[in-house]
Amino acid sequence: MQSQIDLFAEFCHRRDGCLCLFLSYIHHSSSMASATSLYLDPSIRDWVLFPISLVMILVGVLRHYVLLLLQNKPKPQTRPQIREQRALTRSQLLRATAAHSPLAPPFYHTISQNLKQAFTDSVYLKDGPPAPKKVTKGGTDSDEPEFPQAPSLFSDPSQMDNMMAQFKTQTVVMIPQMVIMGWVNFFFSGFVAIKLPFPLTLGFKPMMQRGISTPDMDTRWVSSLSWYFLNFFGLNGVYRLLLGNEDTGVDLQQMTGMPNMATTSPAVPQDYNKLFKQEKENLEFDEGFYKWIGEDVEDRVLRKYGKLPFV
Amino acid sequence: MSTAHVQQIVHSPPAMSANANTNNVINPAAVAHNVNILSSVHFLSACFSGAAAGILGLTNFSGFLLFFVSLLFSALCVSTFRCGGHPAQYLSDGGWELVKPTQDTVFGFILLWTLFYGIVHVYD
Repeated sequence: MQSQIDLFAEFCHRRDGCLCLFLSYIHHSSSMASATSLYLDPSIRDWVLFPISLVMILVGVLRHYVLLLLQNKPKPQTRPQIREQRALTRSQLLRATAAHSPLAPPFYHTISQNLKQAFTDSVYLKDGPPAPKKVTKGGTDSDEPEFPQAPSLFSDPSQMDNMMAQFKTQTVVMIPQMVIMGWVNFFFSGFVAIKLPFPLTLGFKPMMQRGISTPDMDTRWVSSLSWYFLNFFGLNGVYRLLLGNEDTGVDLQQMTGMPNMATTSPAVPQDYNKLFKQEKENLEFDEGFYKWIGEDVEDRVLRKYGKLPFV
Repeated sequence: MSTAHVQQIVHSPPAMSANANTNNVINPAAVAHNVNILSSVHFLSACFSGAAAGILGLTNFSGFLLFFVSLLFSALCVSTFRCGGHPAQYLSDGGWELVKPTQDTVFGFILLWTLFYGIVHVYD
């Protein structure tokens, strides 16, 4: 009823021939013509699957710590820089609460006036006001009467540093993956390593069975390179569990070489001069909305307790 | 791993915040914390269900069915026991994140499924 044909599909002499693969096709001659089953050598499991997974996990952990080492601390901002940002924040806070302001009118208007005046004179700019007569903070001669242009992404040395750091990160992420892939390709190619528990379409066959020249074999039987890819995609969660929940720098966008500009790029240099001008107009605009929250509070309280007639 | 307590993301009771700007009442740190915890829970449940599917020898759709059953079960447990039955108060988009499988989760499941299926049913 059953004829069992053993055939050697591959004879690998690496590892003293212990990785040789015995493919035994069992032909069920009764009804199913091609319901075949393969038995794989357990040493494939011990010497291929486990090493690949172990190496990938360890390399992921190592990469995490290398990335931590490579991360240079963001440079502390100088005092004028912080003052520049804080001035803007203060003005925005004032405006945001203008409709129900807890500040009494004298205070509100004084603060608003002061901020507007400061923005007009641009005393909060980190390079000082651009007036040619005034000597700037560093003692440097202020030869340029004009405002300096907003620094472009490439001219600013600190921006270059950031891009360099990004490049280093990508290198650290990409290089180990290439090396492991080369390692898997070199040592573990040419034989079936594992069976997937779910079917794939025939389109995957050249990719998942690379190096195995058996045109009739089911797509579920895949090579060790496919096991590498399974690990590559599946181990991200393991890294997260092992290394804590913070970003391990191994998200797929970085893997594929497309850094997510929105998250990885540092703050875009801004022209604070322009921002201040705009903020001044906003302040003037929001003065129209200003309403003190304590306005007529005496009447309201008295009305609440029935001492004054409701209007 | 950090503490496994989910945090309420709303600063003030919803009744008070109804007239205020609704964007400002959600604490982003708490949202991120909850999402982190949730992804850990999802990944672990996916790993265990993958191992179970592999050991049981499930193939094709029955394996993925087990994955979704375990996902729903863990979501139910989290929303009942950790969120007190009101997941919308703890997650930003009304609790849909509880049942949304991420890419890491799915691939972790497939990895463990394949591994255990191979170890138990393919070798020897």
